Amino acid sequence: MKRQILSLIAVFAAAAFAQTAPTGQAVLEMLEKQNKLGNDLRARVNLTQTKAGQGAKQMAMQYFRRDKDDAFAMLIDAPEADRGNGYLRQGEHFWMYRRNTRTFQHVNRDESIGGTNAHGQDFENRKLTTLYAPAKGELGTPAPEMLGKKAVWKFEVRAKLPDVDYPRKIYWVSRDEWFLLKEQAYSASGTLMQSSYYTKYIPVDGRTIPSQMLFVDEFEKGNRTVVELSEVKTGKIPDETFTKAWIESKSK
Amino acid sequence: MLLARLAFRNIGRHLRRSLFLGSAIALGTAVLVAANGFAHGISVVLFDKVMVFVAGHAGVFASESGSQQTQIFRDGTWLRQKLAALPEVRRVDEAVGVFARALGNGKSDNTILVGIDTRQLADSKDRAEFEETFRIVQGSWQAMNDSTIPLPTLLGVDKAKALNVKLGDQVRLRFSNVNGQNQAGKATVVGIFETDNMFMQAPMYVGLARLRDLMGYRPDESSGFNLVLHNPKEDARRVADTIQSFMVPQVASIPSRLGGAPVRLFGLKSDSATRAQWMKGLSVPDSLLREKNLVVIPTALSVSQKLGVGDTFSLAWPLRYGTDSGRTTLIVSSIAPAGKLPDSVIAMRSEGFFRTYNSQIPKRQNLSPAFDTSWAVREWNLLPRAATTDEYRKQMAELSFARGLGPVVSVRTMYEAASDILKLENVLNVVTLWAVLVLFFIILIGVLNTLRMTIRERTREIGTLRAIGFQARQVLGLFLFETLYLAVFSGLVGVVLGFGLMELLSSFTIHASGNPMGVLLVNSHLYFSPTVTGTLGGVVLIAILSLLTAWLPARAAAKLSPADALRHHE
Repeated sequence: MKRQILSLIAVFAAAAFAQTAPTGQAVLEMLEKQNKLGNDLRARVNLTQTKAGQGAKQMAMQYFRRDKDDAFAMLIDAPEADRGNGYLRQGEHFWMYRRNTRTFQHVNRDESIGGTNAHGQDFENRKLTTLYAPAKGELGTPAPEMLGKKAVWKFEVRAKLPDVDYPRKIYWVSRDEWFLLKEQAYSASGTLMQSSYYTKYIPVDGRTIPSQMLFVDEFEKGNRTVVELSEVKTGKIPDETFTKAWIESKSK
Repeated sequence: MLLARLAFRNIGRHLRRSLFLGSAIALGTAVLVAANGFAHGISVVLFDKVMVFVAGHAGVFASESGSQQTQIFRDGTWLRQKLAALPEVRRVDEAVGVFARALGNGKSDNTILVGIDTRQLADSKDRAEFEETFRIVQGSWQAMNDSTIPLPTLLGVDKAKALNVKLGDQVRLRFSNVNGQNQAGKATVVGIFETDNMFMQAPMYVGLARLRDLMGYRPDESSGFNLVLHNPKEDARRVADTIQSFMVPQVASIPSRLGGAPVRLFGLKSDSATRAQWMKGLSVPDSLLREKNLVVIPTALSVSQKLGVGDTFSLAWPLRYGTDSGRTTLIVSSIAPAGKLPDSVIAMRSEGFFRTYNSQIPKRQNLSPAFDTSWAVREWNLLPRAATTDEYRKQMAELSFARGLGPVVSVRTMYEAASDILKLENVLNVVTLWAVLVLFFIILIGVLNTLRMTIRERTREIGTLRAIGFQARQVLGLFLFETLYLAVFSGLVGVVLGFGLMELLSSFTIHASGNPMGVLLVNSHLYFSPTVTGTLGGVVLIAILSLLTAWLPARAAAKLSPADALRHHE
């Protein structure tokens, strides 16, 4: 009798779970919604990159983003050697500014930012649902799991477009707030290349965005990058900010 | 004839002097022949070993990502066939290479993964060249073809040291594939080689087919191509011009059917200037300015197929390779006013169009649309032939502007792509020529002085000859004949000496690892490649210079009056 009751509870629990478990697509849309501010955004970004056997390199920059036309601008404040350098994205074009030579160079989106592992395209506002879709079958269906003490949905996504950094990723998304807490990225051949941990979130304009992220290089052990956002503000940024002239004037 | 016989006899009569003078001329010839062999050897090494390795004598560069590092040409099979059919082409090499991060035993280093096809080494000459280039000190290159070994690799001694790996060890690799996605691989060291060529020290060499797989190339796709020509100096530019002429792209389109009616999908050029024009012409709303998958259909098609904005429709078409069909599903973004777009034409913005077109190329068609196609994208963007290295570099630097606007193809020769190497050759040739000229000048002063002494010593003999009826010009001819005999005989001896000198110098082993000049060595030895024209030219040059040198003292001797000459006492 006891076993029958337990089985019944299990069936009810499964049924309840089946009703509440979201689809992978729904979770992706939630994440995309979290990321879309609908407002211009400015923030200070601190980036600490540790390389195995080489110590840490710190970088500080000002970051400006305008979603309406996918524009962004970055001005590097530290380290001293890179101070005054900047990056500007206008439409399809991505420019790198070098203070020493006072020149703008048209670069590829794959260009490393200040010699770190961060690339131009990492700062673009590309739609998650445009780039990825849940994997087919069980892997792409969010499964309940515990990440530390947090209850999360775990599921796998696959690239819809070829030009993404990683063709396969696994997401851990908090069940209560829909925060992306952990992400594992795999190479085209299936090797785990990077684990990302989104350790802090802050409220911005009624939404919540990650303010502290840890990127662990799983390929070259010992390499890790911590990205911290502070002084995050939203509201209209003057159009002139997304121009070469403005970057040049601020670099003096 | 008499003069020639007398001149020949005189050489024998003044044997010691002739030997001395002849030795100087022979030495000069030997140096000239050896210098010529060295300069041409440099040329051969640079053209046939370094240039081929770096960029080929001519080649085709193709990129879709706006990056110089990643090359891809979707219709690779067609292009390879066209290139291989050119009579001037000796070999077509697919240039598959990628920057990578390599992790060895506790050490890591940057490297370049280069694909090589060791299966092509059936020819003993090719094999000998390969073994000369890769002097294997551990393992064997034949293991590159062992399919049981996961990703066999050859690497240089210095790279093995930098990664702390030995034979049989594994090296983990991280790089980006042709789509820019992160890719990882595990290579097994099957051979460690020594090389004097600095261009070969940084890369790790893996099988071409396996690297293509890892890079994500499909069977009919290729990277760019490097061409090895029979006569690079003569043919490189002509071959490039020929390639440029057959690479002129057609309008790109995908033929299909919609509801039984034939339709054709075209790509809309999306550079800002052209985009503004067609957006206005096709009445595309501004809100769709940034829509990269924008699809515009004509009103007639909208009516006949009952398609409105937001509706989806599917297209299918025969692929260029294989028996499968290409397929895509599109969403109508906008409907062009009547008359603005031909009834059977569907237009899609280039970014979205190329994503479909490049991954599922339709059968090749000879298409000449009866309407204006200035708004439509071509199969690829063919860059104009660069006239100079600076122009070529500028084109490459501006590649990033082309991202999203379709593939970019550039045809180039070694004169634009690897001009630094050619400059090195020119500098070495000039240095060698000057060194030889200085040496020869010194030798000629000796020859001049010896001839003057000879004529002074033989003044009474000249007087006797003039007294018995020799004319002045015959005396001049006699001395010039003597000099010519001496120069030709000594020159021939000099050729033999020159070959001996080259043999001697090339027998020394020179360890130049890490030294950029090591690129000029072959198997750690100096490389000489004397030419018939260079060698004979050297002998002729020496003979002419000797005659010119002998002219003044011989003319002075001819001008002596017989009486004065006979009175002459030492």
